[in-house]
Amino acid sequence: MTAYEVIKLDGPVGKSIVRRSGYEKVTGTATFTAEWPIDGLLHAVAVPSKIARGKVKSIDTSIAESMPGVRFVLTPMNLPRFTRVKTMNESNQSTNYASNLFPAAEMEAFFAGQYMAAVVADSFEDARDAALAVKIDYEVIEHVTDIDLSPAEERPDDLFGIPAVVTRGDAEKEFEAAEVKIDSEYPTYGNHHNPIEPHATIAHWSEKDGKPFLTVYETSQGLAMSQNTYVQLFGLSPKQVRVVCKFIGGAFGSKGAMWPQAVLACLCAKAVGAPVKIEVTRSQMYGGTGHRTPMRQRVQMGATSDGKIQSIIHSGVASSAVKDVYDEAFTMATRMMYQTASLRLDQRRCRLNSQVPTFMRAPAETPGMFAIESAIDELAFELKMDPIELRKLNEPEKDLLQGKPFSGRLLLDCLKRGGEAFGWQSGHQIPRQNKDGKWLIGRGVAAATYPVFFFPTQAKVTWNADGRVLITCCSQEMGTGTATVQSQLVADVLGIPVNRVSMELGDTDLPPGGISGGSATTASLGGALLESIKDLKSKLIELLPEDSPLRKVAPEQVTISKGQLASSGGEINIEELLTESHKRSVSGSGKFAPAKDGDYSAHSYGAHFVEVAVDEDFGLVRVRRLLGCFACGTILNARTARSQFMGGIVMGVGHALQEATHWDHRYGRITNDNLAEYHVPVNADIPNIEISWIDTPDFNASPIGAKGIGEIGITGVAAAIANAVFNATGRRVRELPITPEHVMATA
Amino acid sequence: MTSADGVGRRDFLRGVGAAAAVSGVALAQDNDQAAPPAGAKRSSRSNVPIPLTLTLNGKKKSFEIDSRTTLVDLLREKEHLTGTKKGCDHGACGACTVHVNGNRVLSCLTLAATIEGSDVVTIEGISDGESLHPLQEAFLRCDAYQCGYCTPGQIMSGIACIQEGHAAKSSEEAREWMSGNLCRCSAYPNILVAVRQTAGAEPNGDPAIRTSPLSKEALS
Amino acid sequence: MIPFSYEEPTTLATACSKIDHRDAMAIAGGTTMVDLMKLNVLTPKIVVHVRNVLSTNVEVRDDHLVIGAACTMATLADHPLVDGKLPVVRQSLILAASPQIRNMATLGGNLLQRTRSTYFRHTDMPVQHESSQKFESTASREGKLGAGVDTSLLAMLGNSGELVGMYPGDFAVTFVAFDGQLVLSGIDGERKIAARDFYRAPHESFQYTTALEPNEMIKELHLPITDTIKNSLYLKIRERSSYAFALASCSVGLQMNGDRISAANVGLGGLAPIPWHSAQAEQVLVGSIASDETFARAADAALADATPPHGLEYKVTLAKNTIIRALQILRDQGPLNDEQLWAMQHGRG
Repeated sequence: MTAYEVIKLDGPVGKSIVRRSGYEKVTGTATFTAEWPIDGLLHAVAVPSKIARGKVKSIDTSIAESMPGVRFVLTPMNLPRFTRVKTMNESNQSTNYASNLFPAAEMEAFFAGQYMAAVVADSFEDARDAALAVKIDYEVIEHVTDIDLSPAEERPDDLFGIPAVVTRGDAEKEFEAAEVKIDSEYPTYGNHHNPIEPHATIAHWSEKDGKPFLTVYETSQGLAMSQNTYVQLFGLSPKQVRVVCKFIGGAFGSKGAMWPQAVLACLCAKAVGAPVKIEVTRSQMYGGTGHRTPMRQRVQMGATSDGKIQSIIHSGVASSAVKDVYDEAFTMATRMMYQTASLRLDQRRCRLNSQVPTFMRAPAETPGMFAIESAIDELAFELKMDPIELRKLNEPEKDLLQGKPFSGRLLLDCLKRGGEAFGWQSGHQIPRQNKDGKWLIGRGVAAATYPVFFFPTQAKVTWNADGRVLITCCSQEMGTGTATVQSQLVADVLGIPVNRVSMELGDTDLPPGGISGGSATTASLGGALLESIKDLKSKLIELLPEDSPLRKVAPEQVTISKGQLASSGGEINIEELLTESHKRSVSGSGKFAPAKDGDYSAHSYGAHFVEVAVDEDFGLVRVRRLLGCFACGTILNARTARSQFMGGIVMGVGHALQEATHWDHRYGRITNDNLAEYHVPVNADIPNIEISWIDTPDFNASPIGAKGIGEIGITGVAAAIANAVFNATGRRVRELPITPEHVMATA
Repeated sequence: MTSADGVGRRDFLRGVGAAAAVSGVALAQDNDQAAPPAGAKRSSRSNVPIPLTLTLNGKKKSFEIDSRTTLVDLLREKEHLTGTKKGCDHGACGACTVHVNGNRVLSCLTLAATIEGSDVVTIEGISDGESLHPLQEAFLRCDAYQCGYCTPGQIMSGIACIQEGHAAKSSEEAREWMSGNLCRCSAYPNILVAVRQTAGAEPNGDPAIRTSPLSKEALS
Repeated sequence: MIPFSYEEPTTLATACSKIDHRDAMAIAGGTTMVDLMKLNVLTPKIVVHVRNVLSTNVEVRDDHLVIGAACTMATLADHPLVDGKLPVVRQSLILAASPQIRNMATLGGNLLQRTRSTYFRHTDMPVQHESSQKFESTASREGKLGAGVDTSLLAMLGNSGELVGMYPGDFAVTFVAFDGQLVLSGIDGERKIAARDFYRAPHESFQYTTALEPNEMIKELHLPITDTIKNSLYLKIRERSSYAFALASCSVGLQMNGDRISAANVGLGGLAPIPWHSAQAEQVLVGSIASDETFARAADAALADATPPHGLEYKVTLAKNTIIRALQILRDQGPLNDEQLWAMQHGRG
């Protein structure tokens, strides 16, 4: 017995097919948020705080107001009314506004980049240039933006269901007593997501049925939550708010919460009585939107001399903001990765004068797996043992903390199959053994994992009399291929060609979907669609004529297959049924809500293999080979899945080697607030990437056998690269990113 | 302790940073009062629209523009040709790549007034809506995108890269000459294959089928 | 950007008469101007489009490569007089920026590229801060030049021990290394100046100044075609494989007489406030045997006066290694072709 009913998917599911909306994307006709044509649209640009902490003494808007095209300068003195809603983190996600600070509403600055005012003007140029002319005087107050200078006296209340400190056995004592041990610190810089599409909002107030009506076009990974937030912000009913986003130009978590530009656009539009667009400038995205917090992690690991882990202690600090809480659960994967006789997880929180951090692709696992997968490699080296062998030796039989069996734990299979494909030479990995001219060649391996999450999701499946089937759900399209893979799923279940199925999303007029995050959409929406199809089937049965042979069997014995309603008594073409019943279409609705507490510890798994070339005269690290093998249950579309795994890996290369948000802590300001100095990988950084997967459905974890794949690709990559750098050079770099000064021979 | 941001402080600092940057000598004069200069072909006082004529996607078009308008804003905001994307607005991402007089350039760093009489081609101008440009087809085949936002810039850059002769010779050369376009979804290997296939350096095919050896059974 | 008036003169003389480099500035490719105007770092009241009054021509005249100031980086890199003939010229062009930017940027404008340092790009964030002296963090050391400062794009050579912006360009490094000359056009006629004299190290300013007078513009670039420039290399070190500014770069050219060096050119990028000509390194090289030991001495000489601010200490070694490696490649492999260049940059192939 599996937790979910096993369904057979042997049609379009898994095929490599062209993604939906591909045509729109390659022709430039996909409409992204800032591109909706709205009559009379005005442009607004925010005025960010240039100081990290201070009280506003005065705001001089006179020069800005005299500049060409300026309609209005929004300040706390002339702000339209709104309700200060609770934040996403404090409202248990009943809203998604990120922060307790509101745009153009505060007389205090708590971080540099906070929106203190805004200019509304006829053109973008007018607004941009007038915003530069708004002069704000502050009484400056001391700030702290350096994680090493901020006291980490707090502990998070809750990290995905468990406290900040967790102990099993006496980990300190076991560590002291261990025959072989490592004790390492892994400091990491903060990161910014930098989707290529900047955050943007168009707000349009109108009237409908004599009441105010707010239409918002917003770069949002969670439109249904955004709608609910606008309802609360402006005292409206859900019927008075529509939020639309047909395409998101990359998000990676950065568009999961609502950022101040969204509220600001609504306030500006209200103030001037015209639709207003805000397209956040690239530099204002560093502060105007969230980031991955800097972290200071420490891992202590002790083992017997034959490699049995006796103790794991994973501790450290992540930053939150002064007025807001976001806790990065970097110890999360350590809860379930390895068998250990004792365990201690201990997280602390410090506060910085920064925008509130937020989730960034595999928020907990990306930093956490860097630390733990580096540490396991260090331990293997100390033990003179093959790092895959060490993982095998400490493979847990069940989830240590939850006491539950694992579902679909194919980690060792990924390591084995990936290693074979890569040509992994097992044994003690002795550094500095391979050279190619001036390049030292090194190989590294690391595990990948990501938990299975769900979000409550509603959906509808409509069968049209012309044979086309339409899926509707207010989910989001951000490049993950939701419309494509769910069409494949529905076509497979209904037994019809995939080209007959399409999906509409990105509009709160549709049944509410969950946030497109946590790698949760595919399984959550898939589950809702299975329910919708059940409902559709019963609606179709109701249409059957009294004398239909299909009526002679129990409804549960009637199936939809090959596009027909069928039972042992016969079958009927559904389009004919609809036509004869004088129906243009019939719809079935369904919802999926995750079980509160499943019987399994459900995760996805993977293994990364990396070959790097290091020139230690310069500390340069170049990636020569990348191979990832994953086990994420059923793969719905080979083409889009491969791209998503690959994308995660490439972002992992950036995380490992390039990405760092730099600060001048004297000013408390971000210094590399642009894409020329905040480096993300370019095409030339990336070699051929080999992607494979173990295509085993996991019906203990997911109603459709498929687990999410959006985030697992990045987890473990930085460790695999750091491990490969060690193998190449004998130098263990524990800081991210691994930049030349850390790798250079003489440094 | 008091600190001010905004105009006053900027003006003060300009003397230290910018103005001294280029010229050893600072020369103060109020040019706003200068008479319209003789010998100028096209000129405009600030706030006075500048006439501009372009051949845009094969059609001659005339505009009246603000002197500050960049080509990307002209295309997106005035012409509603939103296929050209704005990613960074500072020449660091390549999302706004278009062709001007046959060369790939960044429309965010192109002051529109400076390209009077030029031939501009955007993503909207490379196919007729029914039959796609071969590189557009290759992007579909190779899944050379995810979110699609950098895609028009990648395609405009890729077409130029092929025309320049940098796509067919070697993978490393093609990677190098496609490195002016950031893709945060990180479709780089697929973009590379799409460009190389279109250049004839590799046979057309779906890279997902060629490189997923453990899942061949799922790909039939 | 502040609203500005726009002018498009039809003659060079008119153009020169209009510009003062401060309130009235010249624009050609726009890659620097538009970027910095959007940030209000440059705030001209008049912008004068000069691209159409300047030559794009490339030719050889009196053993000099003569380049019109409006020639683009891309055009020059691909020019038959350059591609396959003057390796360091092509390499310092095609390793710069991106193909799109190289299609736009003119050589005249390229020479005037500004520092990328955050303290230049944010006009309200000068590098000197009242808390600099007392500022402490785990990343800073008491009394160290630049404690608390993001020094990543600051100069560490030729900085007079000050915190000044680093010149980020590539081609200009070659241009000073190989003793390029500039023809400047002004209202009173033309004058010629060595590139090595054109750039002036910062003096009470955050970045370099130039010899350009008001009403004066770069008209032509003259680069002597010597034996060293024919046997030359540009080595650019950057943590990202492409589309990134140099951590350190080196333009070198060698003329050999047996195993002895009879002439040498050395320029350094990514280190100094101006494109850096290392006469010290050249002095060590000329007359010496082209041995690793000589190269190491040349590198030591080139960096002898380095005063790295905090965080850039590693770049002293990095820069020395860059010089040594460039010389070794040139000695052992000779000038590289493009494919070898990509292999070196990308670490593959």
